[in-house]
Amino acid sequence: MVTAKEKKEIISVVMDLIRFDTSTGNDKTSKECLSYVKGKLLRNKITSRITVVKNHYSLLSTFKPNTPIDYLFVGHIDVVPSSNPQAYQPFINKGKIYGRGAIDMKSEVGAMILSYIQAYKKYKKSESKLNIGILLTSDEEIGGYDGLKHYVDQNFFTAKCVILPDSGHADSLTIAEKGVFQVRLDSTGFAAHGSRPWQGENAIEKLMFALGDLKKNFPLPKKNKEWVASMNIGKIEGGNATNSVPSRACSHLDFRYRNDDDYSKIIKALDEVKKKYDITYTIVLSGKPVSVNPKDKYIKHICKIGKEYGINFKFEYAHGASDARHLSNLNIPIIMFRPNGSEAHDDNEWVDIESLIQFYCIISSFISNNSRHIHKI
Amino acid sequence: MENEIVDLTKKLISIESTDAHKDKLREVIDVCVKELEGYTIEKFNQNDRPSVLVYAGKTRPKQFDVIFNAHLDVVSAQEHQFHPQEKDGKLYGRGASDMKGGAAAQLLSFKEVAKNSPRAIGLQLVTDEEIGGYDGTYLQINAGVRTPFVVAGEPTDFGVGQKAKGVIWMNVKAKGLVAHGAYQWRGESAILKMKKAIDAIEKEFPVLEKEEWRTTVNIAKIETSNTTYNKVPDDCTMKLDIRYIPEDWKTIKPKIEKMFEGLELEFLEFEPPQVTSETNPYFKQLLTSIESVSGQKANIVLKHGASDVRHFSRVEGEGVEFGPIGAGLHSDDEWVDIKSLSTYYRILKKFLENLK
Repeated sequence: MVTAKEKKEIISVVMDLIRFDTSTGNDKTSKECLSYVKGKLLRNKITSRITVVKNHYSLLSTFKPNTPIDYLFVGHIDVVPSSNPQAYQPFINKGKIYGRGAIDMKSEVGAMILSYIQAYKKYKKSESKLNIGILLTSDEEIGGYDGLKHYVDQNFFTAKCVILPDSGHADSLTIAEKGVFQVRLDSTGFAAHGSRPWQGENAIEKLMFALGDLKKNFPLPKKNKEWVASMNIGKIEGGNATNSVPSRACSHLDFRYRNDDDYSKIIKALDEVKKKYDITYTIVLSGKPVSVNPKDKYIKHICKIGKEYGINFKFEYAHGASDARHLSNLNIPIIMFRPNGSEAHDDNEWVDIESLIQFYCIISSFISNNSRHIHKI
Repeated sequence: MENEIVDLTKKLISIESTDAHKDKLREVIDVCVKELEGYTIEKFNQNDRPSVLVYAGKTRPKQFDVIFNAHLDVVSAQEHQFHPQEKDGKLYGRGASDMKGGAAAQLLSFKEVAKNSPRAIGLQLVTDEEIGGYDGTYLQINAGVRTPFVVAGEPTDFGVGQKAKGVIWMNVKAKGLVAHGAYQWRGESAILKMKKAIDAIEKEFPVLEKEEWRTTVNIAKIETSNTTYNKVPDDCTMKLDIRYIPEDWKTIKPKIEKMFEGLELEFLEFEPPQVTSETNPYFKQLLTSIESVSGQKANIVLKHGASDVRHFSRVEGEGVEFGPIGAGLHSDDEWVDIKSLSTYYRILKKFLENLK
């Protein structure tokens, strides 16, 4: 179990992290925040490296360099900007820490840092031979390309298991995340005077017909439980002068899909409207779905540890994507759960302290106490 | 006479009388006024857009029998188009067809006849038709200018524009509820709401395959303030350009309101249609004059676009669009047929002389 001192330290680190306004775009503050983490690790005699890709800073630390990692903690320190400047002044009220990033995901990052330090102490005392690592990035909210994706693409690490607590709940593990697929549709018609529409071809109408066809293939999900592929029309734009038949229109679409079959269905539907309405589409972003086998030994192991803390982990499916999608080609089991907290991105973000401590205990136990056991399975 | 018409037309074309050049609007009016010595010139001006009302006699009649209406403003053009060129019986230049050629012929026929006519004949020269006619024709009507019959010299290839559609410009606005695009059930998409409105348009006013005398709805513009792919948009605005036939004048607004129930509507323009009854004696007289000069039966045409004649609809005035042969209006290749200008002049002259 956790000591009072440890608990105090977790809260203090989380609040320190929240005080850095690491909103998207504040790259300098993100660097300062990572330097804070670097200093903290250094005081525990752990080295780490801060790297930068296109102004986006990341920190990587492992017990043993250039060696496959047994457990890799992954988190992001960036937050979405808040209109309320007070959001970066954390406070505690009725057992909750409030502040921007409290649940997404500075609490989790704080817990992982301390868990990592504790594991290192055991490693130094030769109580464990496992190589543990931690990777903190600062661009998740804008796609994670210069952070996690960069590290994956450059083969900067190999890991047997990743802990990425950016989805799930205190009592449920995310075992699937939908893929995301964003396209831009462009429709072209012929301009004509608005009083003689039959002489032209209205690009907006063509686009609306195409959207109607697509919508039939991807009807609006009505509730959370509907685990289906979906389509959101984020943007539509077309036309210029009031008395003209518009010759151009475009739309931005955001698809969420479960698997390869869904993906094929999306491409087929897009190809159909492309042919039928002479519309072009351009892929803007494509992120694969994430899926974890619930029978995987690491998943079984975390469930077992959960039970020791009185939690019977359920499995859940997440509609939204996270940085986990960048790992999907690596086929690594990913542990995705997090403490109780608010829905992310609102101005009253909070995390429950007891739940946070429990989260800390579970991940710490997962990577150290019983870790020899699992690697024997 | 043909030379005189062509000379005046050329003089008018060489003045770059677009709305961007207010001094040129004054200049083009001055050139015309100079031609009309001996007539009373009543001057109007609003927003630096001058217009005149010309008639014989010292005081303006309560009601004119006939008004010729000509606009001297043009839409912007390439520089060379303000240097008129004659080629193969055609006169090229900005405004040759729309409508400085027609204006010259109207002016000269008026000048020739009006002074000696027992009837009250007016000539209205304006400089803002291309941008709506509010500072010219509309202003003059508000100042009390009335007539049962106006002839706008817009290019019609000698067709008589008996009816013209009315115009509605409007915004349709849909509101929704923001949510993350992966969790759409938490929000409400304003674009999908708008899609329903567009479906209603397709049902009520299907897109015409060819020219037909029916009300049309053009979706001119659509937009949302949202720029993010993964957000459910909470606003969407669509701009419509509706051209309605005079037969739909009284029913169009309730129909629109029913079609877009639950959405916010903003009417930007609501212009009346133009329609002349077949029993209007001046209308009949014009048809007779056309037939006797050209030897051909007048061709009645229905206009999809509106002209300044529509402003008279508000005060129960009727009128037509009637003009010479030409093409390329608003294009880089605008021309008017020179021979048709003199024919046009003769028809108008005959028409005025026959008003006994």
